[in-house]
Amino acid sequence: MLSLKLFRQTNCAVSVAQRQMSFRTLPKCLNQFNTVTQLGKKSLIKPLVSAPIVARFAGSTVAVKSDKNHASLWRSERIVSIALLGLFPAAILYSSPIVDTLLAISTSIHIYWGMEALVVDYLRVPVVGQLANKAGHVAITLLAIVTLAGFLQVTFMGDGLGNALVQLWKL
Amino acid sequence: MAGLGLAEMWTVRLLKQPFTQQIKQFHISTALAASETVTQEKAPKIKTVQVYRWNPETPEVKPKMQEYKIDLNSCGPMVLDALIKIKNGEDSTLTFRRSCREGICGSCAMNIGGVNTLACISGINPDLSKPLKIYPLPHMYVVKDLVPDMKLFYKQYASIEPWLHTDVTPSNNKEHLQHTQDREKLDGLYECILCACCSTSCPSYWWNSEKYLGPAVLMQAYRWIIDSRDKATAERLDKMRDPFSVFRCHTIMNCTKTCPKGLNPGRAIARIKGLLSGVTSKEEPKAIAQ
Repeated sequence: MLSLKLFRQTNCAVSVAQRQMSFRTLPKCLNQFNTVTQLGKKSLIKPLVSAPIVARFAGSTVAVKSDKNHASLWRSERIVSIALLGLFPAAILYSSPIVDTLLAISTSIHIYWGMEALVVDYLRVPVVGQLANKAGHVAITLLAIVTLAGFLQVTFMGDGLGNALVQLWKL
Repeated sequence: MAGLGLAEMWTVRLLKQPFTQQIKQFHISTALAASETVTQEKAPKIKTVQVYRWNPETPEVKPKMQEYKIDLNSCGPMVLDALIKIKNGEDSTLTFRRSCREGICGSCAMNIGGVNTLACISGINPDLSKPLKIYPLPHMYVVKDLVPDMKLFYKQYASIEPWLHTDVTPSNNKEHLQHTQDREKLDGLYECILCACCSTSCPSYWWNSEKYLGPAVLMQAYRWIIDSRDKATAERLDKMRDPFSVFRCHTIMNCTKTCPKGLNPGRAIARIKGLLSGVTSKEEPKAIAQ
């Protein structure tokens, strides 16, 4: 009798984990849990921890999630942001094609990431529709490319990005 | 007791009673004294209270702000006291959640004067010229009046599986022990009462609540991620590597600013990001001397 109840209890625990979290099944489980606890407290420990972790994690996500790993992108974003802190003074003090190109690329990509966050947040598909969302993404990509092209033109055709910043400051 | 005055008789009777009874007597006498002075001396202090009203039974009527006038002299100090006074005295149809009235259940979370907080622990502004404006938690579906629909919030909380995952049988076969220094890491995390003030103050959560988990849930996720007894750290982290679950946080920090319990969900999210990107890693559990 005891073993039967224990079996039902573990069975119940596993089925709850495999399905989506359902509050309808949970009270049933709790009831069984209570009866089992009354029967024998010590024997309960093993069935609770015996279910493998991976099985308990299967299939309980809330929203539809992509498998994309955003963590490395996030790290690149941080690295570029920190690099910009040094690149701006470096470009002004020692304006050279290499520093200027680095500054041009990192500024453009920094602008792109910032604007992309705006598109994701404020041009959401359920609100503005698929087309406007796509258009937003295309627009910011174009903007980033034009920005980069402009910076590179100043760097290689003009008298350097760092010097251009100094000129801008003098105005 | 013929020779004794009223005060002496009260004292003698008090001394004869058990301690709990004595305490009760003191409470009653102070309360009586307080209420007498209040009703006799003070001029009425009329405060305007504007409350968001919407009734699901009349969906054609648009939501509106209803105005009530309450006398602060005969009202408790907190916003929840005002709401209860209105519901008891003026308008029994006013609907709101409340339970513990001391800031530990999180039921009465609402937007008071533009700030998400708990009605039971936020005082009424004594400035009578300014109305007290009360809305439900922002960007939530409203069930009725000040009652928001918390289904999605609870579903997201369930999705992080907020319980201990371990396949280790504890050495004493009873409980999973933890070093005090490991326990200290949970301070500032476990105190969360899930009132949803932080999540509903977060613009990222407003725009992407379907996919972004929100500060309250993420802080609890972090609470289980760094628990030294939990063995599912990698699985927990892998579930939130996508661009939305965690990384929609733009460190706006409204969550930390609004938290009625003074916690810091923003920092917890930053630490999850650190763990996810490999900048930091979870420390090994410290050995417990037995």
